[in-house]
Amino acid sequence: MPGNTAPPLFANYLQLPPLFPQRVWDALRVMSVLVALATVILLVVAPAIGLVLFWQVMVPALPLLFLLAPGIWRNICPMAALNQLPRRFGFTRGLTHTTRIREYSYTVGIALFFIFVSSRKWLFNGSGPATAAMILFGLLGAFAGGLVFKGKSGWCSSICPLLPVQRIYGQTAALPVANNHCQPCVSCTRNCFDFNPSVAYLADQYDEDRHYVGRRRLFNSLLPGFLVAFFSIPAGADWLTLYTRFAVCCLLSIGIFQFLDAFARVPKNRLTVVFGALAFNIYYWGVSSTWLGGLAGLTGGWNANVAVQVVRAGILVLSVIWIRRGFRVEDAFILKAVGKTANSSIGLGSGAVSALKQATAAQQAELVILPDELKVPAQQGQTLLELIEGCGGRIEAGCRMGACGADPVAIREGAEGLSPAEEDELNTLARLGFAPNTRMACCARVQRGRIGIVLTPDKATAPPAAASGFDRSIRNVLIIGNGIAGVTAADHVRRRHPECTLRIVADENHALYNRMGISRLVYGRSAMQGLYLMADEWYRERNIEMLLNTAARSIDPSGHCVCLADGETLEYDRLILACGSSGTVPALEGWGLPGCFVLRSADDAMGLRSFVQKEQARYAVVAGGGLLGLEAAYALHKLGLKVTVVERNAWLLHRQLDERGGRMLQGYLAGLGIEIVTARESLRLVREDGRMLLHLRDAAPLEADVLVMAAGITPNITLARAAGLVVKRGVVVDSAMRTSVEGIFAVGDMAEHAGRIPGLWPVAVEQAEVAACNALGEAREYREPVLSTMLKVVGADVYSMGRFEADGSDESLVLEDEVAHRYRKLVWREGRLVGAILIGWPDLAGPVGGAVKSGRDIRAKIKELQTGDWSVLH
Amino acid sequence: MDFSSFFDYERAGADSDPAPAAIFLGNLPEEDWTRLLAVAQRRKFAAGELLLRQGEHSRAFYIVASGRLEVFASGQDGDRHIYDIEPLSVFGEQAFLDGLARSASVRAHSDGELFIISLEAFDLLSARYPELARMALFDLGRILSLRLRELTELMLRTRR
Repeated sequence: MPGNTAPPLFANYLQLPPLFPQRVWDALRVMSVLVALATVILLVVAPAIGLVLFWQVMVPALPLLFLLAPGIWRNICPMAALNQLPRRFGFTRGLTHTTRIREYSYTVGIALFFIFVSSRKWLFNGSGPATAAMILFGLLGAFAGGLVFKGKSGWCSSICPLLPVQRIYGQTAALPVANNHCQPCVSCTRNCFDFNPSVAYLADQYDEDRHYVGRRRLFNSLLPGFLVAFFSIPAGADWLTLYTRFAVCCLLSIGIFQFLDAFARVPKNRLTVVFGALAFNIYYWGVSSTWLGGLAGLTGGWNANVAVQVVRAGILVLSVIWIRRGFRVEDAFILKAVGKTANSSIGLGSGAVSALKQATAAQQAELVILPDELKVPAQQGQTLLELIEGCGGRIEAGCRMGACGADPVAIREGAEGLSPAEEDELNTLARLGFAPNTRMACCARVQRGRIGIVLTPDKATAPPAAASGFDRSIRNVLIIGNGIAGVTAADHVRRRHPECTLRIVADENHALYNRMGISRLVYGRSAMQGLYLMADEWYRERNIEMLLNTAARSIDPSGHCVCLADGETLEYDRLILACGSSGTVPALEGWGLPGCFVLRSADDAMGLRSFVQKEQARYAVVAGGGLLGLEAAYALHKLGLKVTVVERNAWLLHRQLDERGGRMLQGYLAGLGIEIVTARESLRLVREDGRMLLHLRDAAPLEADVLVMAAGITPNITLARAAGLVVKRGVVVDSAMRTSVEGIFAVGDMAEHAGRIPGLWPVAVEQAEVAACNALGEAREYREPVLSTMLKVVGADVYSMGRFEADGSDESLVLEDEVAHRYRKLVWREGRLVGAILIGWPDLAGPVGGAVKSGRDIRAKIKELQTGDWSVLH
Repeated sequence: MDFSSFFDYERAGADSDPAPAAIFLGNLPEEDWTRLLAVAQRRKFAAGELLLRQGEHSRAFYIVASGRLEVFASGQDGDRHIYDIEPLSVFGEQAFLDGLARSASVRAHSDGELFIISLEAFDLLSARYPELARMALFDLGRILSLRLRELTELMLRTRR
């Protein structure tokens, strides 16, 4: 990590910072070799001093050094220095171990250790020349090993008798010191102590080869016993006693170790650490009096007895710390070695590197979501909504076309870097009445620069300008229906007439909600939360009285009053009917069995979800492959059901797509896992053996735990018909949204204008405004907007605008990209765009939609369009 | 149990931990990566930013293009570091697959950039390139299985 100098827990020697520069180490090595040679001479010349100096002063210091900073000894050991000479000066043969040497060199080291240490009793302790010879054996042996074998494998990491002790005591160094000899590493031994000192011993314990492990644990287990024997055997004992004692103590020690190993449920190295600490304490318990005695004898004049107790206590404390550290390191080792993938991040294949580089190189703009400063790089043409959704931001979505008003956001900076708002969005913003910096996230497309937004819109500071010149004779305006048509009508009435009593009566039990978001009620957990489009204050501020959960029973046109189901009678001067529509239920035999649903209202959606959960439904059939049907199918698919869509026509969305487009969409949905059956009619629904089956004409029946009917809408005209209004399929209205009865208007899904009932949100909004104007005496004529629709199934990216099939004198252009599942089509008449289909081109939806709506003349640009460059429509 | 990485004599001295053992889509060609990234949402992050909160529900996995992050979990004895996320890696796959609450939090150690693949984005991928999605899913499963194996072994090793 940059700036972080602490080495990792299990650092290898090259990751450890050097303790001294090379020159210092070299000087120390020369000194240590000289000291060794001087000791040899002293042992021969003046054995009395030499023996004390070597056996009582020098040797007892080594285990302590091994425990605290083994790396220092590994670097300055005179044997190692000589062992590395041939390599340093390039005259080693550098051979690799044979299998047999590799297998048994460590055992040889252990044997040498036992031979030398046990022979101290009768030989070395009392003989200067013998000890000198032993030291020379070590020095020359190390040198010879270095001549023959590569790296440190000739002595230091193989047969050195001190190595087994170093590996036990040095397994968790208080001061890790980097190996200074091996530059570079030549991979000469297994689990090399000089390469990775803090892992080497643990790796030995956890090795797969049980013989390899066994020999190391054997040495560890007998060391305490061996030392007990060493200190308890009286001087001058005969050979038999001597070696019997050693053998018995070692066997006892091994036995205890094995006994504990069999019963203690602890990780592998726990026991070895404890036995190591035991050996260490036995050694210093036994050696401290002669060690300090020797020191005192050489330096003279101080009381060694107190120092002995201090040293013994100190060694004990040190061992406790050492044991604790050993346990912790083992835990960390297990986690790291065993849980290597569980505890490290998953890497990426090499192909990702260049793909990521390319993907991160392009950045045309940046969206910043405040206040968290969440930065989202953006491409030109992406909507705020897709960017926010993509990174998991909390935002609602409905129509995704700016009409419903589910996703207002406040633009705090860089508003000029967004596409300008168009008519639908402006209408919606005006209805919502937030501060002027508000945009609908689904409409605002990023174009350039840094755009800072907040996900909750700001409140308007200035109240809307009060209207003037309104007709005071109109005192009561009554609206039936609280869908978007009714509420928009109320909004426009209030904008133009601040004084009249304004009531909305609705049998629905919810205030206006995002009807296009109800599929979320099917697959999500958040219920109605976030679905309401306007807060209660909105109604309060506009002084709109809401009578929800209240059905209107009858209208009395002559008496200018409406009778409610609860008995109350409301008078009106103007009545606007916005009763909406219901999901059409065609005559289907068996319809009405449990599990049959239409998906029109929030309650339908919640009822469907709860049925699926309660009955543990698995199979769903959606009858109808129109927009609503496919959205319902997708919602059920997300809920986890196996979904089949049955469409009577030859292809899906036949009111929005041509055949080619419909087939492409079918392929896409099949890829999502939604089964599509086209050109088949539902015959009847039957219950057999506890299962519900939908029988089709000329096809195998479909299992359907739930059946969702999405076969279009039926206007709610019962009330209007009973009141004597002229009705056909819907309530017939003129261009001013007037019904056949004076003072009564009809808008939205229930209104039939010029023989058409489009059943679309923007139509309802437009009609509601026209009706409100005309109701208050302001002449305004309805003109049907260019109809555009969009399928809200992730990734389908289906847009359809205006006339999508060329007929008569229309011309069209179709471009298809089968590999990328993309399709686009333009239809124009006399050069002016009249319609378009886009599949898989979300970025083009804005510009193409604008061009179709404004009837752009494209004659000069046909060539570019044909070659696929549709940016000319921007 | 494999501890060869501690004695990786060849890579000695590299300043980071050994390369992660689990590689996501190791053999996937670049153009498929481009397709995968095309459905993802890019976002930047700043040092210190908390990207995932333990316990939250967010069904997505993440591809780190640059920057370092840390996974940590809060327990009774405070926050516990789990592991570091290196650049060019994947995280968050667990909640992506099981849909349950996040088992740990993720905090950025440095500024960086990542790609988010939500369940919906993955749906889109599988509809557009079913074969690619199948491979991605299979590989995530393989890596999870690898981890499960290790945890089983860990349980045996520690004998607790």
